[in-house]
Amino acid sequence: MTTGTESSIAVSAKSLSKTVKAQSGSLTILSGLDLKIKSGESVAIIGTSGSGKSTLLGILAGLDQPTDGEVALADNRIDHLDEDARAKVRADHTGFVFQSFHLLPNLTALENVMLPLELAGKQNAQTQSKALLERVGLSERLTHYPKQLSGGEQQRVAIARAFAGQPDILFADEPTGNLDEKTGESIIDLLFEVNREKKTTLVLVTHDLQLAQRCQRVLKLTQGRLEEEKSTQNNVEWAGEAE
Amino acid sequence: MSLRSPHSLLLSWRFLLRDWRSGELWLLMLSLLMAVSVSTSIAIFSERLQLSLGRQVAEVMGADLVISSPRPLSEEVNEAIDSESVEQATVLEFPSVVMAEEEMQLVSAKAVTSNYPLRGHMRTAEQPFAADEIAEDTPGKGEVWLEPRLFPLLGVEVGDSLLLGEAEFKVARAITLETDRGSGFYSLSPRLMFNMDDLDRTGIIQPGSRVYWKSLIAGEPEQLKGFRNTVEPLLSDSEKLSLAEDNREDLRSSVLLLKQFLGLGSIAAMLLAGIAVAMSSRRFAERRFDGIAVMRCMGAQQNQVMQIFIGELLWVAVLVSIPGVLIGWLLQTGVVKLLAGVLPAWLPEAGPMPMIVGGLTGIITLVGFGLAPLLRLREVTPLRVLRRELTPAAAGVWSVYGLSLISMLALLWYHTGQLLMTVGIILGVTAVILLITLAIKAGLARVQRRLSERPVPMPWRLGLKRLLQEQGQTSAQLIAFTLTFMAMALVLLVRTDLLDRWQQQLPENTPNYFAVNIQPAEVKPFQSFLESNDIDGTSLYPMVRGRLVEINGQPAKEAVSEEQRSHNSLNRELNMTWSDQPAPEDEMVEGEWWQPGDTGEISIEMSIVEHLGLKMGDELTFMIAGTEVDTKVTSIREVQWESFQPNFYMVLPEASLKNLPATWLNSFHLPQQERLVLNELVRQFPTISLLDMDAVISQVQIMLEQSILAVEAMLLALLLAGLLVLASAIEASLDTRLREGALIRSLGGSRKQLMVMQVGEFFIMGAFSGLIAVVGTELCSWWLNIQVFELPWQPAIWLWFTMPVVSALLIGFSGWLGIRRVIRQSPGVVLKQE
Repeated sequence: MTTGTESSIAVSAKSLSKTVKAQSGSLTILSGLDLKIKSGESVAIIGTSGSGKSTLLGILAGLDQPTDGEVALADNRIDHLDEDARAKVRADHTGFVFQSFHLLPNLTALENVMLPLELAGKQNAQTQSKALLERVGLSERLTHYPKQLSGGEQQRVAIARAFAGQPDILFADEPTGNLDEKTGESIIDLLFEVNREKKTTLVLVTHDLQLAQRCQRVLKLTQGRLEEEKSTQNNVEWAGEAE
Repeated sequence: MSLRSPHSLLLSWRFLLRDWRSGELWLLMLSLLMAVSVSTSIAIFSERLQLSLGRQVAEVMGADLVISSPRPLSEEVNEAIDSESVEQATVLEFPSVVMAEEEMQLVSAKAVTSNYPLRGHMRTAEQPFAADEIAEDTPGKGEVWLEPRLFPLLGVEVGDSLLLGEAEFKVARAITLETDRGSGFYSLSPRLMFNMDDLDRTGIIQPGSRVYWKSLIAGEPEQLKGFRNTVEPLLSDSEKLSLAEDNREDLRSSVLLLKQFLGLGSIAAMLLAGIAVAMSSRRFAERRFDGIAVMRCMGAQQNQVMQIFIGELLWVAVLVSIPGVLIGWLLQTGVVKLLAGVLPAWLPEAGPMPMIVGGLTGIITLVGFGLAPLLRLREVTPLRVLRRELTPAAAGVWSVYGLSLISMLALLWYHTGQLLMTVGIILGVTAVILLITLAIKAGLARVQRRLSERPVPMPWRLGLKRLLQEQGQTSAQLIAFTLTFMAMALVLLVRTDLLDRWQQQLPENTPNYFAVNIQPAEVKPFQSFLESNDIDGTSLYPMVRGRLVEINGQPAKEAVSEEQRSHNSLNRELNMTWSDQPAPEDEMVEGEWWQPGDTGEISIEMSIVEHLGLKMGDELTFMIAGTEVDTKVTSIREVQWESFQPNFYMVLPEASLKNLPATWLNSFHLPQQERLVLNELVRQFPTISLLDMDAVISQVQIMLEQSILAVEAMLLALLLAGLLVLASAIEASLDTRLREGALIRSLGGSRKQLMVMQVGEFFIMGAFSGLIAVVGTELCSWWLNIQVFELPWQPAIWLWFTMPVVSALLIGFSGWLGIRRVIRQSPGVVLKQE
């Protein structure tokens, strides 16, 4: 399941296992999973409800720790790091888009986008964020609060925010799950467009096969392991994928 | 957690602005504002009141501080007086004989400097026993002012001449009130007052003369403190320094009570504001879980998150403290203005300390009550963005209550100034919280059993189920409600007891005159004089004067420690009386009263027992008119000094004293307009000394009125704090209720069902907390009355019936006000926001 060379690997996992305690003993969600995602690649992870997609995303993104195995993000082993050290890796390399947007309700659209930049202590947070919001078509909505925005608009803000920190890797968890079909499509278009512009690695978790097909690779999670559903050539053009 | 990073400080400031703009912070700010302004205004007001009461006592004493001595003050002391910037007046008292044309009379002469008195006023009249007014000056050169009873005794009138020593004086006025003539009055001869400049002219004061020097000192509190520190080490054994605050047992105990009550009130108000802060800060924290999870995803570290949010709340505390102190200051200024007619015009300004402490209260309250819920923010996992159910564990009970109790301890200690009482209260509150928790647990378990045993209508069932399922939150709310009602009821109860006590202290017809030195032969005629003039007089008390000479067979001064040796009771004659039953106001601390006919026993007042280290069974020997009287301590009493009734340190059986020379003492009430009858009284009984207590009584009365007003104001503040707690508690549960309400409505629940369910829940909580609060209130009021205020206690039966009903209605109504939105809200809107 290896693609590309070691030097350009954005995300990798080796013999990854995750077991959680459940009422009826322990429950194995991931077992001996291996994965390598090259820099700039777009990968969809699909699976049925409860197959462990989100758990895998959490571990790959450094939000959670595996029970066993190795995980590396942009050449940083993170499986043995404590939460604060993983936070540092996340700050330097990752961005997130979530199903339920996760905008901070008491911040305006602009402030939501500024937040990662402010947390990192970056200058020009406002200028950069305005440019990003303009890019996602919300230049008229800067001072609106999340509750004043439609679902699609909220997700656009979330996309702008995800790219604000100029991440190497973008993790997206069911980004269209809370949107109607039409809005969902326009959001996905936007996500792929910006992803291509910024040359970001995209790791997308979804149960929507149509959406998954827009990625270069599709991996299916079943019984704790990944199977390659679709593999594209390494030299596939981004433009071809987006359309 | 310190804010080391300026970056975090800046971020927390930005978060503050953003949260403020979106209306997130107002309840928390309001609660803190309440804590700060209540604390500030009470601190300022009680300090001012304390200072003013000190001054009022000073008025009675004529000065803030008095140094008295049988000799002129030493050079060093005089130099100290000159070098410190305090005011000084000098007074000289000595016994002398004054001669009018036909009569001679022993008087207590008093020479005063023209700035006498430094505090308070003398009152004088143009004629004896005529209407009087405040004296703006002192006797002029060549003038004497006489006590009214001296006029008939000497057969003089205003304008007549008399001779004191070698100098002739003109009688100018009658003294009706002499400020500093407080204690030791039983032995006083009638007063004659003249100007210090005439002293040499009289030629009376010679080396060895029996003279009593007094230096009256006045100044600002700080100056006095400095002066006292300088002068005290310079004083010789015979020079005695007394402070206004140390004097007048009657005024002092009222001041102490008031101060304690204000302390109690402010504790209650601050506790309530603290609970409101705890609830608001809990909501503040819980509403930030999602945002923090996102921030953690973005790479924010635990410490950074904590710094930002704790920083934000510290900003809140700082920002609230400034207007809080200002509001507190305005509040007390308003109260002072409003009560201008009652409060003394010269209510002194308080120092900066109360304001500083008031301002710090914001931070202390926030840290004490608000920090524990905030610490949960540290535990928010970034994984929450994927799994929303990952909520940090609730803050540990001990971190929540421990921190609050410690911060309360610090604040209380400052406000009451009494560590022991503070620790007592804190332990009490802890015990009460434990009891409440247990009672709530037991109550909820019972409800749960009932619920499974018999069917309950659906809306009620849902409400009850929720109470049971979220036991943590339910307990927190119930504890808050219970403490609120307890604090309010407790202050109300103690207030009623205090007012009763104050009224008892000065009932109508409180004796305003004391007649002393009534000779045995005059007792009957004196009584019939009072009766024939319709004067309301108490019974007569025999009085014998004697010196304590031996304790357990040893000379008294050798039997006690060096420190005790200087106590007044060993250095002067003591007033004793006989009685075959204890005075009704007195309280027996130890021992029993004797049977009629017994001899050789004595009952002693508590403070003397303490000062001289005496105990039951000690043998005391008195020298009374040349006769030794042996006694054994068989009872110890506590005397109500503030009762304005004749009180005695030493009481003996009649059989022990009846053959010794005695005079009689009487106190009676005489309305202002009937005072002229005293002229006749003095003429008929020329040797009797009359003491006018009206001025002292009216001073006490003013003070009590002030105290009552202060108490009422306190109660109002407490009510506001209580409402704030209710608002916070309801606001804190609003998110859950909105969600739940929307769900029920979307499942087809009617508004009415929703209303019954939500309001019913509040109603049940109100009744339940009201019931527990009654128990807690009774326990606390019992403890406070007995231990702190020394008031009698009896259960407040009415409270048992009213409190649960009132609290159910109050909480139910506030709940209804708070959740109208829940009921009106369209379910779609709420669920979409999810």
